[in-house]
Amino acid sequence: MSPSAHARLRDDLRALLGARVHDRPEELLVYECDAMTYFKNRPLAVTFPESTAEVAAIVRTCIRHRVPFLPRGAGTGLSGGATPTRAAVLIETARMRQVLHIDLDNRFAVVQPGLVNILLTQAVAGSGFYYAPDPSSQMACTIGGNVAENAGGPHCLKHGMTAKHILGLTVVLPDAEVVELGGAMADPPGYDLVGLFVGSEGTLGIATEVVVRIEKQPQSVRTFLASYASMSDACASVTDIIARGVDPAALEILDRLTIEAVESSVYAAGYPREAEAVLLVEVDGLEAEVELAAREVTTICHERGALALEEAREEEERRRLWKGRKGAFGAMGRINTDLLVMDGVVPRHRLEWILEQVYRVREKYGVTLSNVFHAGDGNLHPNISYDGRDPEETQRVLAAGEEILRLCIEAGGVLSGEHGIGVEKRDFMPYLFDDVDLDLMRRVRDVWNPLGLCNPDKVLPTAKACVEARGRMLTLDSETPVPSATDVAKGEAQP
Amino acid sequence: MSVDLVRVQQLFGSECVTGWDPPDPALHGFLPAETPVVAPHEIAEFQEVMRFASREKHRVLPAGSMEHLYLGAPPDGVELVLTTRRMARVLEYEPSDQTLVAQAGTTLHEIAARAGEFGQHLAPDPWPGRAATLGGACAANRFGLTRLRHGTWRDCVLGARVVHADGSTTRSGGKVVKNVTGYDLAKLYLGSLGSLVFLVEVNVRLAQRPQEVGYVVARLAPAVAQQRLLELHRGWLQPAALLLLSASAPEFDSAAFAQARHDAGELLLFARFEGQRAVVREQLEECAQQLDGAEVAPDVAASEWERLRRLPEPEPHLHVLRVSTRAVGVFDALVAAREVFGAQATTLALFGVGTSFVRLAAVESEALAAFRERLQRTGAQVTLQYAPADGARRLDPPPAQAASLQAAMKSLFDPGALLRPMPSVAIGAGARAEEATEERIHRE
Repeated sequence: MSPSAHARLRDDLRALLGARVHDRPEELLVYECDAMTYFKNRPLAVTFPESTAEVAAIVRTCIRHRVPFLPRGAGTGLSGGATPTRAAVLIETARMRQVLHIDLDNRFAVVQPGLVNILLTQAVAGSGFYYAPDPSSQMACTIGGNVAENAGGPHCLKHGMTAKHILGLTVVLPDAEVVELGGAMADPPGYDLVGLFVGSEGTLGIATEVVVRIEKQPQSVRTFLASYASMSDACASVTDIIARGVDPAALEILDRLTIEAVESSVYAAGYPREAEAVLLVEVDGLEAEVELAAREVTTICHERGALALEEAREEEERRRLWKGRKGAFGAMGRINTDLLVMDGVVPRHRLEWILEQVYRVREKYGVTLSNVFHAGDGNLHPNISYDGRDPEETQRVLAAGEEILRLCIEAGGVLSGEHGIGVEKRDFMPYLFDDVDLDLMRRVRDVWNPLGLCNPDKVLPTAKACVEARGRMLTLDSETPVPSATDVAKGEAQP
Repeated sequence: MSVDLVRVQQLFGSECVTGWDPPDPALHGFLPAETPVVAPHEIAEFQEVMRFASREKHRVLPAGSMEHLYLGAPPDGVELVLTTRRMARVLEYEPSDQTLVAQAGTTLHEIAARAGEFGQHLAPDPWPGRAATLGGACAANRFGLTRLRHGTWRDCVLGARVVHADGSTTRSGGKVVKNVTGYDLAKLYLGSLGSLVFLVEVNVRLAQRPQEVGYVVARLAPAVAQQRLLELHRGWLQPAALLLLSASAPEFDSAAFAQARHDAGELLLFARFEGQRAVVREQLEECAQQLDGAEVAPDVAASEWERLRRLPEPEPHLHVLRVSTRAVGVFDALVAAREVFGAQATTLALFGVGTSFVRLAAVESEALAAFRERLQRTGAQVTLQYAPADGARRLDPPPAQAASLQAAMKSLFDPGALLRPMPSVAIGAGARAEEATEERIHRE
């Protein structure tokens, strides 16, 4: 974009928002990526609207200038969904963070998209309610971001992903039209556009109000930590817990390297360092059913040779046990400067197989890889710690990641369970879907987003996608070839 | 005007093609007897039929077992019926993962039998009828009376394979229980009544069957019913269903309900609890106590529950209205039905869900309009879900939100309008889809 065009755009945005437009380089630095840090690109400007009308006005301005735009919540996304791929305007929702309405009897609330996830639960907790989806980043991530990514979290095993909890939306479409989709009324007529929109990663429009389902807090919650001498025993416990009809709220496994990182960090939770794996189990519901489930879990863990089994006796202990799990990604910062968090899913019965493969890939590529994952729903999070300043290591990390995702698909799984595709996994979509499948998704997107200006280059592969996504900190203009996993395995990778 | 039956038989084999002779006698007059009904065995055959229909611009009625063809707008100008009933195999079942992949023509009975061997079931649990199919139940988004606890197909469909109006086939979603890979197109197809695509394979998540089921049955005077229900709703109990049945439901005056026989104006409450034995019993006792000695009726309802499940289902010569309100707003529907239709209406309300069904034997257009107008004032929506097979339809569907976007979806998936219409989506408003195509061509 030419300096004069940039200046005209800035002037138009400032006419709308005044000082709530940032475009000095030092102001933009923090917005050049989300929590997936290996792809960076600085936006043209960051805007801070406070209402649906302001979002629509920004979108109209961007259309007039033919400039791409994209929404951003807290920037905690792990697939580059909130990272601009072109010279674009960011629409940051940080100033749209109000709880607009709460209706406890009808079990819903209306909130703005910039509301931090945990604050929604805090807003209704005093009345005995909560908002169920709990991504690990829930202290920072926003409801709007959760909607865009169809976020999960440990407790979505029982309580469902974000899509299950979204009843309605106000959306600024990519052509600046404002529409209402769904709502608190049961079964609105027409197609389920809310269902399509949730998880569309900001490519179909920008949610500016969200009608969320809220639920009664469970009468009882019990949390256990079992430690094991082998990952296999931990996985077998998970299989047994499900097979015996227990309906756990969460089943989380951390491997040895993760335990070490957590225990050496501020997130230390008292996990036994000598264990090869720990399994965090939570059951919730009515007291009587939780009691029965707790007995079953205890029996199974002992049968499967748990080295130790600890139960949180009070809320403080429960928080401590979860602190280690929820802080696991943060604790990885002790291992190296950068972290690639992966998100493949496999059928639950393939867990042991895929973990063997993941450790094999770790050896093959010589990378530092740890595992913390949602075992109950087969959602892996292999975390590869690396030094992003080392191009050769970065390429090995990316190649290892790609191979792991291919293995997930080979096992009957998918590329992402909760982080989304973004730019990170966009090129891998053809591993799962054929051209006709992808073309249909593209045509659906184009109906909503006909000018292609709303969060372009995300989710679906583009012609130059390989270069864009797999290169480190590359922009669209780069033509630098990036080796594939096969190249790296053959020793042909070029730093 | 239908396609020539003999010609279609020549094209696709006489063993796959018959005339219109549906199992439900009430549907016999629904289409001309010479309308070809094609029942392919495989997806490839399905595609062939659709390519033929697309090429020759024949309007196609998608069908499963033809038990719910009343649903939605009357199919106008159908020239060919295409049914999945011969594509009825369970393709994959992983009990340890609680996932199942089945062809769309697989009956709900068949899935119940297979899953039941491992103590599992399909949680949405709609009335399985004689041979209701998985694809049909999903396309019609039919749900059971335990929706309060188990949700709808939206909560358990993991992915789908579909055949499009042009004969192409696509997949979306996957077979795992957690997935955000690409757009969740299956959500669009659920409840679309076959107006966008043909579902040919559906991937679902199963649930553990409850160890025990129990019921509390109570009579409630209308003046106190709302408050009593709200108190239950706000408490710690976790019912799988809180059903309210209006007074005029004579078919429920059976011996089993002798203790709970209701007088005119009273409402009959069925509270259903599911789960482990001890948990269910504890809740039954607490619920009965909260309702001042209501009957705990663990056995009642094994038979009566089945009759309740049938209440929202189509029957010849019956109108079934569906009223959508907020979760606890069903009293608006109950009161309006009583006051507008009087004793001829039977209303079943799903408290906590926000859905009510009103059954009427005969109804005047004016009464329908008055009923709708009254409920619209409260923000509720009224849909004529089933009408008698004569096709008489005296209530336009409520318009969908985001009309141009809805119409654009229809135009995108079914540009030739060969599939059945979506009742709430205006045809011809889909300029957005054409504009998108033009814009895309321009960009490329």
